[in-house]
Amino acid sequence: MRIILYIGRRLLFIVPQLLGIVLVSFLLVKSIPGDPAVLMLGPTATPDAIASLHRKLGLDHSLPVQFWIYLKNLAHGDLGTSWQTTRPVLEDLIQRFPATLELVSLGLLLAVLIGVPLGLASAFNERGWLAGIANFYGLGAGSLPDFWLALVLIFIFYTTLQWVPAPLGRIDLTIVPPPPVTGVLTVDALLAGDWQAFRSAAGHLVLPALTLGLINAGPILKMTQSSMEKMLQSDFSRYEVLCGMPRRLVVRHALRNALPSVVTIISVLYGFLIGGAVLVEIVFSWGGAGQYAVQGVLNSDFYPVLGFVLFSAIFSLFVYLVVDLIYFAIDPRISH
Amino acid sequence: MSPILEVEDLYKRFPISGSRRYVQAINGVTFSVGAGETLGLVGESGSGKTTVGRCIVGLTELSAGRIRFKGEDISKPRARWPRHLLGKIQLVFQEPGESLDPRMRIGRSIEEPLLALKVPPSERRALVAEAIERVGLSREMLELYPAELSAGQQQRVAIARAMITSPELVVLDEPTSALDPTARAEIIALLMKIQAELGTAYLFISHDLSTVRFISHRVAVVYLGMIVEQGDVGEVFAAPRHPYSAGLLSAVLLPHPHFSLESSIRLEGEIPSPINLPQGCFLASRCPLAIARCRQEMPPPDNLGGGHMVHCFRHRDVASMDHASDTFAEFQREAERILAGQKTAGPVCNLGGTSNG
Repeated sequence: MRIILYIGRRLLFIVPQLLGIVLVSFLLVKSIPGDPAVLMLGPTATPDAIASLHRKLGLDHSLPVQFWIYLKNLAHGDLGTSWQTTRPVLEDLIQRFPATLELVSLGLLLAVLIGVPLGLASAFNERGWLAGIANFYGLGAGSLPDFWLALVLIFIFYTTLQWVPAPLGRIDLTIVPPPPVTGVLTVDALLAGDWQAFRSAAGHLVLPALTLGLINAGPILKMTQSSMEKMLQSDFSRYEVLCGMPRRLVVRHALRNALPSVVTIISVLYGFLIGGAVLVEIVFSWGGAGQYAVQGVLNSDFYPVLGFVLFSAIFSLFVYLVVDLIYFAIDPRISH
Repeated sequence: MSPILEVEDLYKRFPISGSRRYVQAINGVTFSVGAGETLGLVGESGSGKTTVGRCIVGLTELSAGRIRFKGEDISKPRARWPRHLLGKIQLVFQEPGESLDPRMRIGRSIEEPLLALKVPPSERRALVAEAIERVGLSREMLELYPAELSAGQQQRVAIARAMITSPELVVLDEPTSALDPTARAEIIALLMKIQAELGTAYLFISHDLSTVRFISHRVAVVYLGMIVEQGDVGEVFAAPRHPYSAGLLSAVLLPHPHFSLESSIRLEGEIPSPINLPQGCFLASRCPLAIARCRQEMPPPDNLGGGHMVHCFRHRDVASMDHASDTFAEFQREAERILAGQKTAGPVCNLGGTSNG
C-alpha cells in the first residue's frame, strides 16, 4: 500500500519535471545559431522565400509563442516534423529509440557483468593479482575513448578475424527485417521465429555492445570496489570478524550495504548512455536515437532534438523510479 | 586478583606503503588485567592505545610480544584461536553508529555473536531479551534499525551485544567519547552496574581522564606506544611520578571553579613522530626535567611498590615538585556531597563509592 502511494506521488511529480526539462531544452536548442530555412532552401534562396518559409514554420513568432505552440502540439501527441527525414518526429523516434535502448541495455549489462565481479574480487583481496588487474582496468577504461576502442575492435574482429559482420547498421542488408513489434530487432526476430534474422541482428549487436560494456565497466568496477572495501573495513564488519562469524556472512552483510551505491552508478550510466552512446552509434552506423539527435543539432532541425530530449528524459525518470523501488527492496531503512 | 589478561612486551609497527619505513605504533607495552578489574588505558590521540586494544581482540596482528588470556596464548591471528575462547573477549567501539550494521534490526545485531557460537535459536531469543533489558532498553527496540536510535541507545545496544556471550574481558575503545555528557554518565553507570553484577573485567581505553578516574581500578598512561606509568588509579592521579602523567593531569578541566589542577610541570612542544622515534626517553624533548642521560637511554621500569611502575630517571623529583593531592578525589567527594544534600540519593553517589573501593 505504501509503495503504491509512493509510486503515485512520484508519477505526479513527473509532469512538472518533464515540463521543466522541455522548457530548458527548448530554450537551449533555440539558442543554437543556425536557420533551418536557409539550410532547407539552399544557398540560392531569395530573402522573400526565406521569410515565407519562416512564416510557414512558425519561426516568425516570438519565443514564448513558439514554445506555447510546441506545448499545444505536444499535448496532442505531435512532436513536430523533421525537415531532414520529412517524417513526424514521433514516428522517427519510435523506430530509432528501441535501437539505442537495445544497444545501451546490452552494453550496460555487459559492463555490470564485468565490473561488479572484478570489483568484488579486488575488494576481497586488495593485494591479489585480481586487484592488480582491476586497478589497471579501471585506469584503462577511464582513459580510453569509446569510439577508438570501437575502431580497434572492428579492426580485430571484423577486418582481421572476420568473426562478426561489417559494422554497417543493425542487420544485413540482404536479410528482410522481422515485422516490428517492440522495435528491438533481436526480440522481434525471436517473436517471428526468424532465426536467420536473429543471428544477423545479434551478430551486429556484439561489437557495439562490447565496446560500451568494456568502457562503462570501469566506473562500475571502481564504485563496487571502493564501496565494498569501505564496508569490509567498517566497524560492523570488523566486529563480525572478531566474533568468529563465517566469512561468507561477513561478505554478504557488507555487500548488502555496498549495493545501493553500485545500483546508483548503474542507473546514472543508463540514463547518460542513451545520448552518450552516440559516438559508438556513429562508428557502427547504428541509426539510433542519439545519432538522430546529433544530426538534428548539426542541421538546425529542432524537433528531433526536442523529441529526443523528451524521450530520454521520460526514460531516465522511469529508470530512477525503478531504482528507488529497488532501494525500497534492499534498504529496510527507507521503507521502515 | 589473578590476571586474566597478560600483555608482555607488545610491539606493533605498520609499514608505510611506498617506503621502507614504519610507523612504530606500539613500542614495548606490558600490563595485565585482573578478573573483574577495570584497567584504564589513557593517552593522547595517536598514542597507540586503540592499537593495543585491537591487538588484544585479534583485529590487528602484533609485530612482537605475547598476549595471554587465562594462561592461553592469543598472540596469533584470530582465526587460529582455540574455539572455546570465542566470545570470551569482546569489544565495544568508539562510534556506536558505525559499529552496528545499518541494515540489520537491533535484535539481529545483538544476536550475531551467538550465531558464531552456534547457540540454538530458542536459547538465542531468551538471551537477546535478557541482554536488551540488562542495558535498560525495551524489547520493542529489537525490531528497530540503528538509525532510529540515539547515539546513547546505540551504544547500549553495542554493550548488550558485547555482553551476550558472557565475556570475561571487554575492551572498551573510547565508548563514551562520541556521546554527550548525559549519555556518557549513563553509559559509565551502566558499565559499572554490569561489572558489579557479572564480574566482567574491562580494558577501558580513553583520553577522558575524569571518566577513567571514575571507572577504573588501575590506570596505565600511554605515550608514543609506551606505558610510561601505571598503578592504582587513586595513587597515580594523586601523586603522578612521571612528568607526562603530571602534565596530562594538569590539562584536565574539572567542572567546578574551586578545583584547579595546577601543576609545576608543563609539557611543551609537540608529540614526536612515531616514524622517527627519538633516542632515549620519548618525552625528553618536551620534558622540563630532562637531563643528558634522558636523551641517551630509555629509562627502565622502576617499581614503586603496590604495582606502581614508572619509566623515569627523575620520578623522585616529580614527586617532590607536584603537590600530592588528589583533586579528582576531592572533586568526587564534593560532587557526592552536593548530590546527597539534594536528598536525591541518585545512582552517582553509590557508584562513586564502589569506584573508590
